[in-house]
Amino acid sequence: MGNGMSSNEDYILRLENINKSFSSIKVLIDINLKLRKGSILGLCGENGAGKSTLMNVLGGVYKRDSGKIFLNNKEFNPESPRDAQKAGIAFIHQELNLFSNLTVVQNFMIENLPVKKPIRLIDEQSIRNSTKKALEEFGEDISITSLISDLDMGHRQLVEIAKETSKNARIIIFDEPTTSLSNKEKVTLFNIIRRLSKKGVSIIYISHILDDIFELCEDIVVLRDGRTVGTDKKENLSKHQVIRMMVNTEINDMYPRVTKTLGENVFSAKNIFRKDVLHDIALDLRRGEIVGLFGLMGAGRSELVRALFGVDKFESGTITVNGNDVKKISPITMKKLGVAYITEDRRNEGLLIDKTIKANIVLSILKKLQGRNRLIDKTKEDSKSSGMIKKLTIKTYDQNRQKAGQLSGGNQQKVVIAKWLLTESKILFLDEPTRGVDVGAKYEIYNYINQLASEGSSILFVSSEMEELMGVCDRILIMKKGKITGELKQNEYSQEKILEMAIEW
Amino acid sequence: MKASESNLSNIININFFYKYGLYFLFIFLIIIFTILSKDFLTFDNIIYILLLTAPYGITVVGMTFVILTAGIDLSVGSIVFASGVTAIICGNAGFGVLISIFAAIVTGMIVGFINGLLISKWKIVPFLNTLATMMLVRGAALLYSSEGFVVIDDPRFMEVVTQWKLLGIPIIVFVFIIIAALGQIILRKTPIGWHLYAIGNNPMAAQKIGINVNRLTLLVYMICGTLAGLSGFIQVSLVGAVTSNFGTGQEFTIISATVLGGVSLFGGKGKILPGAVIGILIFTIIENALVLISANPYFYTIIRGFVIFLAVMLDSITNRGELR
Repeated sequence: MGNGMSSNEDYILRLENINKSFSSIKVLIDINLKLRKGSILGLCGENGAGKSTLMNVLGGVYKRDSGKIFLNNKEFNPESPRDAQKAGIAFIHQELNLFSNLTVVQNFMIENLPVKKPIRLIDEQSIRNSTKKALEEFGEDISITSLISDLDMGHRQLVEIAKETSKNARIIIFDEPTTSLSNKEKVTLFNIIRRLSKKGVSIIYISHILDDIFELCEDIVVLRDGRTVGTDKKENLSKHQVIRMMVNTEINDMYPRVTKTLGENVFSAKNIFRKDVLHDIALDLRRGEIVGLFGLMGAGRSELVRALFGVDKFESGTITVNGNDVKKISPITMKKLGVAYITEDRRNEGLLIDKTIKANIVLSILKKLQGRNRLIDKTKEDSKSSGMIKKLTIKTYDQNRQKAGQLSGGNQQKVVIAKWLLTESKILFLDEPTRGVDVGAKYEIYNYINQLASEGSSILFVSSEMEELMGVCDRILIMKKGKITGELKQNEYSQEKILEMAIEW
Repeated sequence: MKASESNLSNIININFFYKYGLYFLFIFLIIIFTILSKDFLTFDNIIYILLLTAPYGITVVGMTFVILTAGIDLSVGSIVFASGVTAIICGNAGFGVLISIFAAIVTGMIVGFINGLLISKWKIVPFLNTLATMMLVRGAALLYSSEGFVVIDDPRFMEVVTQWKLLGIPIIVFVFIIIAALGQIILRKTPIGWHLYAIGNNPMAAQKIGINVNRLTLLVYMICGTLAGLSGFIQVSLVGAVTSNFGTGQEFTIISATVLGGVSLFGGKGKILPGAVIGILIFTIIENALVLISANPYFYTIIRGFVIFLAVMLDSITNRGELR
């Protein structure tokens, strides 16, 4: 323990030897964690390391098998989320607990609505007042009567944070909060977190983005395979050490490069125009090329990819695949032409969450699996699916029984990739393929991308992480307000240049 | 050319149409029918329309609660039958009007309770669950009513609907208006109401933040059953007898009127007042007017089919696939 001098009095929360298993799989093994009062603790670990399970144990969602939790040095045994809430523990999840059909005010105290005597109608005025007060503290201009569905993700999160803090939370747990935020929104969020910690609120900040952890946190706890593998003050750790603890293998070069030769143009788009969204977009992909597409939130990255794949209609513009003009641009024709699109919204658009892993993987090639009697050939199906699971090292206990939704983020993404790899598409659009994916799986994904490119596939790699684009791509296109505002070759890469072209001045 | 097309779609904004189209349709129908028949917009006919609407409207209030949670209750037609039969049997056994009303309501409440329990505790899909109770309840009621034909002996039953009046308006109409208003107040002004909207929007999140989803689910089916039970009594006393197909297919009128009134089948959206109530008024107005202008009765089925189609189509276009 890095700070062995502190007594238990300094800690608002202590987890001691927590164990938890699901059926026969041990998910948490003798976990120890201490949170100092008013501090910000970073919790890192790959997906599947046990971070979420641990937080669910703390939050009363799961019951621990053994171990002790001390809250303010008193034993704490949460039976339900409500117990945790009453004890002053608040969660800000990646998926927000807001109801999009209700207004900000209606959402604000939804779990504990104040009522007026004598007939117990909701005291709307008092909710309105506290909502206003809480939001004003964050200095953001959000109309409290707007529907949540009319707010962007940044503002939604702000509403949720304001909501949780207004309940006098003493401990706030942030679970991957920056995933859906732009850089500017992230800065605002970090300021808010720092301000909360100064006011004496203790924070657990869970993230796979080490830069964020190192920027924000004072203490760092690393989990791997359900165990605590490191606990220390930030000053005593380097990013490199943390990565090593997380994956237990040395990743010397996060961004492996392969030598390859670029071929002819295989995909080009010209003058793509969609009112208010895309303006005069031109884009080429060469055989074996990896082209990065960067833009801040709202720049139109995903909208462009969706248009190129024919998901969204656009008003004018032409698309050429392998030298032939595409007449009817739709996902069906694009797929036939060998284009694959891996969507940003994995849970809703990329996966059938309730279906098994195998069913997901073979979904894109069902026709090819038909046997002589036109029914699906079970052996073929099994071998194709198992092949992919092996190739991409998808961690599953049973591809026929485990549902896609039960996998960790990284493994879910691998299933999506497997699905498209089976189609043997030669042109791939990857929209945020590493979002919500841990370091180890990221590294593997970069490797596949490189391997595909060296085998002659062309890849359009959309991301909001500059570092990975600079590490993987042959050139980077930068978007702003629906336009491509710049292009950088590999020898010109720098974060400053990219941001300069991406930020709206 | 492309630009002018998109301008056009801005003018005929589907959202605008969905929000206010119901009221336009309502007013449009009133104007048309006033022109077609001089008897349509008279005080007596308006009261008559309200009297016809009341029993259906009361069930629509219950159905709104159910559909708000993204559920559905197909058993209301059978509940109407069963509670009607119960009321008559009680009445004929000499229990009097008030006890018979009570018996009808309790019958509905019990079926609602069974629906709610199976759907909330055992997680049976509402559609299939209430399809099963629809058949079971009708079958049971047919059994204990000697094949579903019972006639009221006590003439006081008929008076409840036609003779009990306040300011010249049947009490039943006030009961309907009060139930609708109470329903709307519960939805808009009480924690239960807000929680129902939350459940309809995202049941998982509602569960996570500690809303008692099971209990509220049970509650909405009980409300719907209870109100359908009351409706059953009113319908019986309007007609004076029950035949074996009494209430058959009524669930479709109720559900489509609710959806037409802007209560989304996807859950979490809609109001009792004015929305769902206007929805059921449109149905009775069409029926009433077609009688007044002595139209071919088959015409009514066609128009009703068309209105249902319109309602469900608009609901799908506006609410399908939205991010929550």
